Parts: sequence; C-alpha cells; structure tokens
Amino acid sequence: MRENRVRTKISFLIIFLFVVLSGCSNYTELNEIAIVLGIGIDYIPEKDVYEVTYQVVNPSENAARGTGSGGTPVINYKSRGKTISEAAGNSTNIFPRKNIYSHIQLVLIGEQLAKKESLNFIFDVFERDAGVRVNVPVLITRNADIKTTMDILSSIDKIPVRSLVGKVMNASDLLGEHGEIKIYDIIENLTNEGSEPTISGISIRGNSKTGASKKNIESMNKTFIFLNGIAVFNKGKLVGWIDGKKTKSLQIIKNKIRTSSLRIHCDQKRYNNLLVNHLKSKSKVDLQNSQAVITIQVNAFGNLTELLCNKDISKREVIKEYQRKGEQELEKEIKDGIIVAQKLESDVFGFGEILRNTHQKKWRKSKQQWNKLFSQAKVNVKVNLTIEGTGMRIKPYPY
Amino acid sequence: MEQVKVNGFQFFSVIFLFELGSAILVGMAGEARQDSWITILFGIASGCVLYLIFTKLYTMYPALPLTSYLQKILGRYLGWLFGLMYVTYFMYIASRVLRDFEELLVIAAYRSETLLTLGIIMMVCVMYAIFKGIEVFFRISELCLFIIVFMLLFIILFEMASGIIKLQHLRPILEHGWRPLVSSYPTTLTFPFGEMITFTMLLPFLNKQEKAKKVGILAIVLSGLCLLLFTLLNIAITGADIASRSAFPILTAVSYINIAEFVQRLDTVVIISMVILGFVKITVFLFCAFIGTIDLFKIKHQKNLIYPMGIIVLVSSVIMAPNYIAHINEGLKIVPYYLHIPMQIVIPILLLVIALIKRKLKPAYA
Repeated sequence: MRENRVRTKISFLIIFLFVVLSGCSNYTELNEIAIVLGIGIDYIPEKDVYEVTYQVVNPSENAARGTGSGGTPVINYKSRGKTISEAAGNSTNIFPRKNIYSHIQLVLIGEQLAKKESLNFIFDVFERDAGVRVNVPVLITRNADIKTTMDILSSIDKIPVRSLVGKVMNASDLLGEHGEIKIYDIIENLTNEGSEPTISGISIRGNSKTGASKKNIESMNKTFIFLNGIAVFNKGKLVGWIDGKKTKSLQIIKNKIRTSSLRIHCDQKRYNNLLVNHLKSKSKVDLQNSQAVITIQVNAFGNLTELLCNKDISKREVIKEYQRKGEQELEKEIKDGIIVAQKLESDVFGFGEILRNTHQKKWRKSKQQWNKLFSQAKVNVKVNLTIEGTGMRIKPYPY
Repeated sequence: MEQVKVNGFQFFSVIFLFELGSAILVGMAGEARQDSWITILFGIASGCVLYLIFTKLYTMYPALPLTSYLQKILGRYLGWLFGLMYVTYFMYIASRVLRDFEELLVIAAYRSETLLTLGIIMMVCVMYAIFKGIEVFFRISELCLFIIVFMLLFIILFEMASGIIKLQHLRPILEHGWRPLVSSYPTTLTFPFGEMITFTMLLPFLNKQEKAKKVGILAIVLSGLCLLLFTLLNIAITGADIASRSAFPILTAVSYINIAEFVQRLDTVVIISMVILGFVKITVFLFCAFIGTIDLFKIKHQKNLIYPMGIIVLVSSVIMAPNYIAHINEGLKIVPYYLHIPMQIVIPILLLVIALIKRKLKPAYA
C-alpha cells in the first residue's frame, strides 16, 4: 500500500516535470527574434553568388499606440552566399536578432536571377523547410534592383511587401490582368510537362532615392511600385514579357479571372466601357497532321458601365452590335497574348497539359518538341458575350 | 493470460485507427502517382480476403492467439520457433512505426530535438498503456476514434472550403500504364492492410466470436476508404509530383490551407492526430509482442516484461536506419518483400491449409 503511494507520487512528479520542462526545449523569446516578412532573391553573375534581401518588421514602429521613435516600419538588409541558406547564415553577421522565416508574405525574384540563372532549384529550400509555407505569392522585379524595390516605403500598408501583395490581389480582382502566383504554382509548372510558369513583374515609378526615406510617406508626390507585365519563362529561365491587356489572356485561359473591363468601339473615335463580371473558358487541344490546334471557348457576361456616345441602347440591334464588338475585342486580347507566348516558344497557358490529359498517345509522341508545336499552333478563339445590364440609366445623354 | 473481453465497437475503433496509423502519414502507393487510388482499391479488396483467412484460423481456435495455435498446427517445436519469429517481427514493426513518428516530430515540429528524446516520451505512453492492460487500451482507442474522426472531418472541410482542390491533378488516368500500379501493389497490400495479422493475437479478447468477421471487414473497408480519400485529396491539392516527392504528403497538403488569411497553419492539427494514431499503432504491435512472449515463455510476472520490451523497441527505432530516407527506402523496398509477404500472407495461408488438412484427417480432434 505504502509502496504504491510512493510510486504514485514519483510518477506524478515525473509527469509534472515532463509538462513543465517540455516548454524549455528549443525556446525562443519574442524579443530575441526578427520576423521576416519578405524575402528577395537575386543572383550576382560576376561573383556567382546569390544575394538575398530580407525585409524584417520593426515592431515598435508598427505598434498601435505609438511607442516608436520615428524610424522606418521595416528594416531591409541583404547578405550573400553560394546557397540561399548560406546567405541566410551570413545575415547573422549584420543583424542582431534571429530571423524567423515562417511568416514570409512575399518572395521577390530578381531579374538577373531569372535571366542568368534559373528558377529551377530556387524554391527547394522553401519546400524542404518545415517552417516556411509554399503558399506565398511570388513577384519578379523588372528593370529594378531588389533592395531598392523593397526599400520604397508605402503609406496605406506600412509594410512594403504587404502593400505589394495588396496590389496583386487588387489587380487580379478588379482588372483581371494579374493573378496571384504562389510558390507551389511555380513549382508545379516547372515540374509538369507541358506548362511553363509565369510571374507578375513590378517596377518603380518615381525617384527611388526619396522613395526609400520617410519623406515618401509625408509627401504627396510619392514614389511607388506598380505591376508591370508578366514574365514568361522557358525551362526555368526568363525569356520575355507579356504586357498590358495581353496579360488578360493568361487569366482567362487559366480561369482565374473574376472581373475585367473591356472597351468597345462606339463610333469611329469614341469608346464604351463594358464590365465583364463573369467569365468562364474551356480550352481544347488536339494534334492534326502534326500541327497543334487550340480551340478556346469563352462564355462571358457583362454590364455596360460607360457610354461615350449617343446610340439608342434600348434597341436590341444596338445591344447585339455591342455584344459582337465586345466579342471581337475579347478575342483579340486573348489572341494577342497567345501570339506573344508563341513567339517566345513558351507554353505558359498549359495547353500541353490539356493535351496530356485528353490525348495521351498524341502527347507522348509530341512532348519532346511541344514548345515548337505550340509556337506554330493554330489558335481558334470563340467568344460568347452577353450584355446583361446597362446600369441605372436606360439611355445616354441626348446629344 | 488475463481474462478480459472487449466489445465489437471497441474492436472496430482499434482496427480503424490501426489501419490509418502511419499509412495516412507517409502516403500510399506514391509510385503510382495520380493512379494510386486504383492500387488502394485493390489493396482494400485483397486486405479483406487476407482478413478472412485470419478469422478462419480464429474460428478454428477461438480461445488462442496466433503464437499458441502455431504450436497446435505445426507441432510444439517448429510452432514455437515460428511464434518467436512473429514476436520479433511485431517488435521490429513497432520500432519502425515509432521511427516514423519520431521522424515526423523531428522534421516538422521539434527541429532541435533528438529522435531518442521524442521516442522516450512516446514509448512511456505506450508502455503505460500496456501496463494498464488490454481493456483500458481498447477503451482509450474508443475515445481516440471520436477525436480522430472529428479532426479528419475538420481537415477535409477546410481543404474543401479553401478552394485548393484541383481535380485536374488527378488526370490523366493510367498515364504510365499498369506497370507502376503492379509494382506498388505489394507495398500497398502489406502496408497497412496486411498488418491486420496483429489481430490474430487480439481476436481472442473479443467478447462475441461471431462478430469478428463483420466488425473487422467493416473497419478495413472504412479505414481503406478514408485512406483513399486522403490520398486523392493530397494529390488533388499538391499535384502528383509534389505528393510523391514530399516526406509527409498530408502535411504538405494541409499547409496549403488558407481561408481568408485567417484559417491557416493547420499542420499542428495533423501532427496531433498523427501522434494519436501512432500511439495506437505502436501499442497494438507491442501488445502483440507482449502477449506472444508471455505465451511462448510462460512468464509469471508479466508486467516486468514491459520494460525490457519497450526499451528494445525504443533503441532499435533509433539505430535501425541512419536517416529518414534510408528508413523509408527499407520500408518500401526490403521490408514488404522479405518480411511482410512471408509473415502476413504466406505463413497464414500455409497454416490454414495445414489446419484444414489436419481437421479432415482427424475430425474428432478439433
């Protein structure tokens, strides 16, 4: 009996120690860590090293009740190494706190890295590390240095990388020209046969020197970063850019588009605006006589949101004419995008994958020279546009 | 041996958790890529057939565990030797499973911890469960079943709600023909369906003999379908390529979940449920080894046996492989063919044949 009681006491003690002491293993206190919010990776060809830029949050400057001393909300610094992990290790030479990478919100890729090196193994470290997510958006800098881009302070979102993510989300929601590309999308497109990755590009507008100081927040003449085209890759290397409205084709074919606007000719000089608020596409790929035939069927619904000339839209013929013009415009936008990709011989739309899924035998025969076949493919785009509404007014101004 | 009886539902929950066990963690039939569901379907079917063989043996010797009727069927000495083989086998697999979960914790959560530390903590729980006896263990599994089912439903719900499931990842079907399916079939059959051999040791504890078949088949089919669903989900979320490359596909798939920047980082939920599943699986294996040893060596102070056995399993789990890749490769390329197939399939079938012939020759004997 007595022995039993002693045993119970001892086991309680052991359990208690387990519970209490387990908290001590591998502990890190909040005041000893630096939370990395953004990471930029570039490549220096002369020295054959990676240059990694970190954006670390400056906690006192982001506190709701101001305890800050007027410093910048984030701290950017960079380090170099033959591998990304080595660069991260070298960063400890210049930064006083331990970097925590599990809250990364954005990964920036440098243009040099994309052109001279390749993306192929860059993301391995993100996949392999258990703390880092792979559902982080990726952007690529265009005509700009990574550090300079990350240094541009922003006003609404204090933290630059968050404001960048916001821009991508906003553009993909309302404009439909950009989509959020995450690390796993890129890995998937790199490893899959028959599709190539794309990444939205960003550039600086304004003076990058004043942009990097607090003056940028105080002045109305701001330096800012804007989304600038979509980078096209071939075998992991950047080969070109799709610009402007042509980028919409990518979002349409991948069915990522939510809303977009379309301008349609009203008369010779002036335009109407059409807001497309529902769009679905279906693509078919086939090989006929060793030529790829791509058929894209698009169904779209939209509203007229702005009329800059007087035509009686209460007539069915006028609406029908607008629908037809809208269809032509959308078809042109889609085709233009495909033509750019065809010139770059990079199947960013994943048509090869569609062929792989539907015609396995034909795909097996043609997968070696698929990029060639894609660049010479015949493209048919069929758009079916329905105008559903004209807003709060029935007729335009009676001029 | 202690005279304890467990009811059908408790038995069901142990089989269900045991089957999910480490299979849901390390992924099944990765070689077959997006066609792995076909392999798993075949695995479930043949797993049921195997289980019928085990229950047939059980109905012939309803009060005895495998190690005892081995001696009845094969004669005293040969049977005893085979019994010893089975005990060693159970302990080996117990340490393999322990290693799986130690690695999970080290890779995914406690990066600066050693395998041994985590192994000790897990092993203490397992040894405590065995110390408390079979009835307590079955009751705790009943509770765990509800926790696990709840957590898995939770994961499925969030995976669906976050819109990361892309069904086109499951196509094309049979891209590389039937060959990868055939070559991944033995591993899928033996792990986890063939591991039901452990229940030949535990079936005598079931309170109603006629329930064995129904409960077992139901549990195998349901847990098999659950594995199938998770394999499909993993592939649909991450794509066949990432799913076959990652160490723990389910963890990768769950880490993609992000609902409104708010519901995210659910890996912890997975790790917690995996630890529960691991606990059940290791305990079942060690229990079988424990019962087998008592049965073979006719040990009186049974509980003292727990310490050495637990320590052997713990130590061998750490020294069995230099790293995780070696451990996984052993588990996929060596263990199924040299250990699982003979122990799970060949010997039971031979036993059944011999037992049936014996019964024919001596009808009065049985």
